[in-house]
Amino acid sequence: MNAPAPVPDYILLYDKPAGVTSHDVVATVRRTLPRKTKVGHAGTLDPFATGLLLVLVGRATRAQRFLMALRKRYEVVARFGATSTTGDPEGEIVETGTVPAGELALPVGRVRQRPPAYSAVKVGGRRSYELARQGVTVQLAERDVEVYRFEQLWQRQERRAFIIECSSGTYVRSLIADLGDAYCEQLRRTRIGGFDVADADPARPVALSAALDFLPALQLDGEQARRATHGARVDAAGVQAEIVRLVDADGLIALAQPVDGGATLKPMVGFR
Amino acid sequence: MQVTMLTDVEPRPRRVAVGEFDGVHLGHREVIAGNDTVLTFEPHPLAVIRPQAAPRLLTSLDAKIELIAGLGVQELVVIPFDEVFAGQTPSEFIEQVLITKLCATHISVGENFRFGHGAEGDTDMLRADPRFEARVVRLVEVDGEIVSSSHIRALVSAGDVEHAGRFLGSPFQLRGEVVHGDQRGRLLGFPTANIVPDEDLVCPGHGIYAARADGVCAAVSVGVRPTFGTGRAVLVEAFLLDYAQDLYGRVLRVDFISRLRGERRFETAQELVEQMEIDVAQTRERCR
Repeated sequence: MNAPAPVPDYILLYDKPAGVTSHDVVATVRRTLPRKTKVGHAGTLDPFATGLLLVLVGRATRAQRFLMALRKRYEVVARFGATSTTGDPEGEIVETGTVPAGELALPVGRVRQRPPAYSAVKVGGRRSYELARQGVTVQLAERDVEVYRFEQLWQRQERRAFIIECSSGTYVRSLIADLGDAYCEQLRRTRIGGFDVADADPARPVALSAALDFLPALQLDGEQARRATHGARVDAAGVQAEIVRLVDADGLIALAQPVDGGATLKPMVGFR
Repeated sequence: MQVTMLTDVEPRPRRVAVGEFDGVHLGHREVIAGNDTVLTFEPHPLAVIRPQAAPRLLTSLDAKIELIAGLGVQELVVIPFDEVFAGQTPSEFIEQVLITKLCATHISVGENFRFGHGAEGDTDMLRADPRFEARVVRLVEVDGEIVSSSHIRALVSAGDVEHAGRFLGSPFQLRGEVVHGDQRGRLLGFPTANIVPDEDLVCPGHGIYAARADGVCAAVSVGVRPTFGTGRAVLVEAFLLDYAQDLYGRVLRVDFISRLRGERRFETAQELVEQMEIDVAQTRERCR
């Protein structure tokens, strides 16, 4: 028997160019791998946007929601004096000529946002942008997001560039549209959690265990390790965090979350 | 113009200009004028004889072919320069290449032309041969300076592309496929088309230039960018004025017109953007 070598579990830091979808990037990576290898990504970038996309391969796809939840950093070039139905260059652009002068108030902290009609949020089981494209008016529920940093980098005529650090799920296009008559002309994701676009290189896979080592770890052995492997709860042993890596001598077992007020950890996804 | 390898050459009487002709500069053009055939060597002989001393060239073979074709020459004969060819004595070269293969009736060379093993053959040897007429062209001077490929290479490397262009007879051109860069220009409101120059060719020194990219006015930065593995690589970033199309994957030809300034570090993005605006205004003026 010549069983194919198992594909290791890793993530790729990919610098997505403009003009391709995040799914195109995943498909490109998938084509280089044996059939049936699981490949995904941790957070869509719009086609017009560039920057860091985490491509997940093998069992790294199981860590998707934890990687998606990481905070993001963007650099944005906003064009003032015009609005866009989609908040980006791909929408219908209406010139208003209203360009603000001087310093702008850039909101930091908890920000209440209404997701744009052209967003991937689901309404009654359908994507909001599909409804919007069909002309159906949908009013999406507001939600709270966290903006950690919002600074202006430069200003030139009707354009201003910003650096924005925000929680997962923040609509950067909405943050820009809320500054006045403005839309995102360029959008680049430069960081996801501790991953920086400067380190992006599709030829250098990052092993899943190394990619997750920003999470606190709980070392297990014997019976506890066996229990965790089977998805059973283990004693938290004083480790307090929203997500904990359960590891033993052979490496990563699972990612777990605290239950019972933090006394025990419940494996959410297993890697064995 | 027909491009022939020496081994495939058909016998017919020829007027032949012989030389490496890197850059096809004004001096080369004098040597080539009035001839129907050009004989050249590929790769550059030094790349075979003393690779460590081989210069970065002004033109790739493709660019050379194009430039020579533009001079109204009928045929370009290429000698694949290898160690066997390098071992040929001067009289063997005359006998086997010029007489037997090319049936040369006229030979035209620059006055510094040397040939055969150890570069022992010179222009006197060609003049003394009664089987063809030898024309030895004096080195061309522009503004009191001798036009030579090595001088032009030094000028380009130092960033003096304006001066180099006067010797070449046209602006120094660099070409390459447009690749994805680190999007720095895009985030400064100046999206650029980036090319990685061929390492075997001369590249203008680091700095900012006024240029034409595929005929369009462009402010061009030549600088280094960090890369994985090899450490650092030169990157040429062209901001095409008044041009919004996506150029990825296309081969771009950048004609360097003049140098605007050296590379500089800026304390803030705002200062950099303001400087770039000045660069663009100057580019517009110079490439009119």
